Amino acid sequence: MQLSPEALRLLDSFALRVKRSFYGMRQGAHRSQRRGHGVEFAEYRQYELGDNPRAIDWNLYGRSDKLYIKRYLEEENVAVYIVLDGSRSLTHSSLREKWDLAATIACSVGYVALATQDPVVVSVLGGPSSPRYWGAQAFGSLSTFLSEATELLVSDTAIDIDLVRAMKQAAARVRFPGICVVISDFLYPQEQLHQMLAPLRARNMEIHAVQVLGTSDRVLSDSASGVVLRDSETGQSRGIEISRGNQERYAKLLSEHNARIRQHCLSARISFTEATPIAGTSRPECALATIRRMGLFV
Amino acid sequence: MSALAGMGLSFAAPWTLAAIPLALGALVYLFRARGELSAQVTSSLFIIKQLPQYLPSRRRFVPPLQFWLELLLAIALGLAASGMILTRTGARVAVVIDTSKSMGALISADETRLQAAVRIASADISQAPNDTRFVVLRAARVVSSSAASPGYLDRSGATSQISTVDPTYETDSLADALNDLQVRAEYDDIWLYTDRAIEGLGSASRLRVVTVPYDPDTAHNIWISSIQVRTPASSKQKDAEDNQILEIGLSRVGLGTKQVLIQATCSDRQSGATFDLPAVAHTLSASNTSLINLGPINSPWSFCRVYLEGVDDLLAKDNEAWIARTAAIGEIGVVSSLSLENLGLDRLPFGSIVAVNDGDKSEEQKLQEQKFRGIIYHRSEPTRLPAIPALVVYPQKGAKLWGALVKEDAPRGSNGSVEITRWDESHPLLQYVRPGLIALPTARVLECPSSARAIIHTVGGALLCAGESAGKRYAIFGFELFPFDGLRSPTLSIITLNTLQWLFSSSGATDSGASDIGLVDLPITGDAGERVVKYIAPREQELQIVNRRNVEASEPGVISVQEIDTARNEERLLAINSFSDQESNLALTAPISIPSAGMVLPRSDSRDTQSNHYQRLWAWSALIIVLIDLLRRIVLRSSWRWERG
Repeated sequence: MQLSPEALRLLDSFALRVKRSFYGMRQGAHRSQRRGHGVEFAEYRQYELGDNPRAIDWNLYGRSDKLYIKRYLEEENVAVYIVLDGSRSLTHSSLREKWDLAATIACSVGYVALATQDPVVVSVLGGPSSPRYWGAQAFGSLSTFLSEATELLVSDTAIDIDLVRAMKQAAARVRFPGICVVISDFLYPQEQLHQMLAPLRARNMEIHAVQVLGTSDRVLSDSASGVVLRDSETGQSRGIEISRGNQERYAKLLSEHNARIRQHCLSARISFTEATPIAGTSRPECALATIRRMGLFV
Repeated sequence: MSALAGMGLSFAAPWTLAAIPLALGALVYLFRARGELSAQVTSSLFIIKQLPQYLPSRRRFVPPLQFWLELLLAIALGLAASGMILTRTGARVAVVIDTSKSMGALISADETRLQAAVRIASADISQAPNDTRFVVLRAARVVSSSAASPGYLDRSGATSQISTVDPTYETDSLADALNDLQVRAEYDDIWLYTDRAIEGLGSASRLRVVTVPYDPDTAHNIWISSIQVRTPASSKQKDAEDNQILEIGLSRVGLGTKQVLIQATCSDRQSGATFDLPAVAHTLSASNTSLINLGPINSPWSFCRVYLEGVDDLLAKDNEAWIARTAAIGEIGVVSSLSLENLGLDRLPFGSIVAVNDGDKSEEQKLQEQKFRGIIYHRSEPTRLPAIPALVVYPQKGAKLWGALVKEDAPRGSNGSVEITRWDESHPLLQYVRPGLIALPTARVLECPSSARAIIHTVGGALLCAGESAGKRYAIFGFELFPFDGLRSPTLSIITLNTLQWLFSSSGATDSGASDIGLVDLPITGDAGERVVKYIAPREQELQIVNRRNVEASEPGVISVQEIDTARNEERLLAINSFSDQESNLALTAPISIPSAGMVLPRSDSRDTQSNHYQRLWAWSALIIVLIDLLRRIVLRSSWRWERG
């Protein structure tokens, strides 16, 4: 998965914005929950044996005759977990545009994160998981991983993946909670969505859900009077009459489905962003527009 | 529909017809497949399942127009591949009835040979298979259909049509007629009903001949074999018309002697009243031929009817004859630079022979049509086709005569004369002579017209051509025929007499074509006024003029040509007779000889190689295929435009 220099230059202007503080692994650019030798004052704490006497606030001792030490907020990095839905609904060869957009978004997020020295881990549901990447120099490895994952996964054979189980496995790999970007089409029942996001929520992560829908997902095809739709995952088929009524009904059902997802994400403090391939615009531009709407970057 | 009667459809490769139902099934499958829904991959049926399901297999198959066109195309292709052949199922039989004059002879008290032939033929037809198709033909001088609209008939139609066959006065030419039928190869079988026997039929022949049963030994008939007008040599030219004698030729076949009474009734030219000539009684012995003179006729006459009384023979049609004469017609014109005396023509007994100014070519056709009944071109040649019988003697080198060309002089032999190498002795011109005895000092080789045949040949080519054009006989001699002198060269004199006899007939008053029944050329002068043509003998009946000069005569008789124009009201008569020993001599069996290889008509199993026995329908199939495909393309194009619009 390669991003053009222009896209990379645009991404250079982005920086990761973490809404919550997490414990980081190394010193970084994000406010951490860890107290220490930061710049920003955090709190006073009564001196205890073993504390560094240099941290004692002697002015406060003079006023209160008690020994207090000043504590500061640590600035550490934040682990970024990117979870890509590798099911056939994205990796089917005839739906490749969805996967490409999803991978581009993942690559863009990873680039920005690596640029701010945040570790990045990519997990593909139903597919491989990457090692933890550190530093901007690891972006090449990240791109290679995504390219290999594309070659590995994109196919036209139907495979039904247990996404809940895959998500649990991906969540189990999280050692330091941080930001988790889940990229999927979320075209499954609400209960399954809940079950999928629950492991991530249990890890107390800042979750960003990105819904990638293809053109065929948004509207019913109108090229024929009828069409047999075959499920990319289960292989089941179903004949649908392409009529204006059915098209309107489908659009309404999709809108209701997305509204329910959005409602669930809102209640679970998960940001929800829709990403759609836009005709006439390049895939990186679509990805850039998406991550702008995510509120993850500044 | 009559053309399709007795036709059947067969196929050269019938197994290819199985492709048609297969094509039908394939087309239905293809069109259903075309109507089936296209398959698409979708991310998930999660939402789609909430929409009503659409089952294309439950749809009713409503074939569009294109389906029918393509089905028609497939059927046409299948039929074309199967090699459709339109064949005839039943046998096609030509029932040929001999209607010549001899068929009118009685074989019993109340039945003629023709009636017997019709009876036998009807019985044969009724016993033929149901699908047999018949064509009823009558054969006399020519073979023609007995119906106005010839076509194949079933048994009942053929039986009813055969009963309408009428006897004629004609002489049969069955050998030629059968050859014609063989050449046409149109029929599976030919059933011939005649009073003549056929020789030379092979076992493979498809010709079946039924000879009407009669006993030639008991056949007896007396007939008038000729009739001529004689002018006594002692009569002067002025009285020639008043003292003419009718010379009647009588023939007889039968046993014993028989006395007949020859009578003649003539019509007065001026008043139209009839008067009888003195009857002559004559006794004929067995198979005897006699010449009997009637007359003299002492008053101007237009026509005479000669008839026999007390005959009581088997064939009555030949017991009477007619002869007519007109005042204007009777002269033979001679175009020559020599006088009639020098040519020796003043001694010839062929009526009036007059000299014509040789240089007056512009009046030639007018003279031919109006004045003369024949014309002799001596060392000159006509420029137009002859409207009257013509004799051309020793024409100029390089002259063109009715398509003929007068070539170089014939090569001479060792004795200095032109040697005649071969000749057609069967031709009437060479009756009683052997042309090989002639010593010709000079001669010119002729290239005969297409309507003539060469009679005398030399090593360089033909020297004598004789033929017929537009019903008029002509002869071209490449050597000098005159002066006519009975002592100079008997052979040449006899040839001259034969030629004049053949061309201008024996009678000085009758038309040369009068013995032919059919289209009779009337000697009508001028073109003023309307004319009425009718038989006045043997029965009065009006005839139709086919064109300005011809009338269709169905039987011998005396034809009256009456001009209605009041200023030129006059009546002219023309006699028609049919003298034929072959037909009147009832004891003459005269079998018809068929070549050994002849009349082997193609059998039904070998008929496939002949195009007229079946009809391949390739062309029709191809045409239908092209039309259907064209229509299909038009429909496709219009629907494509409609979709694009």
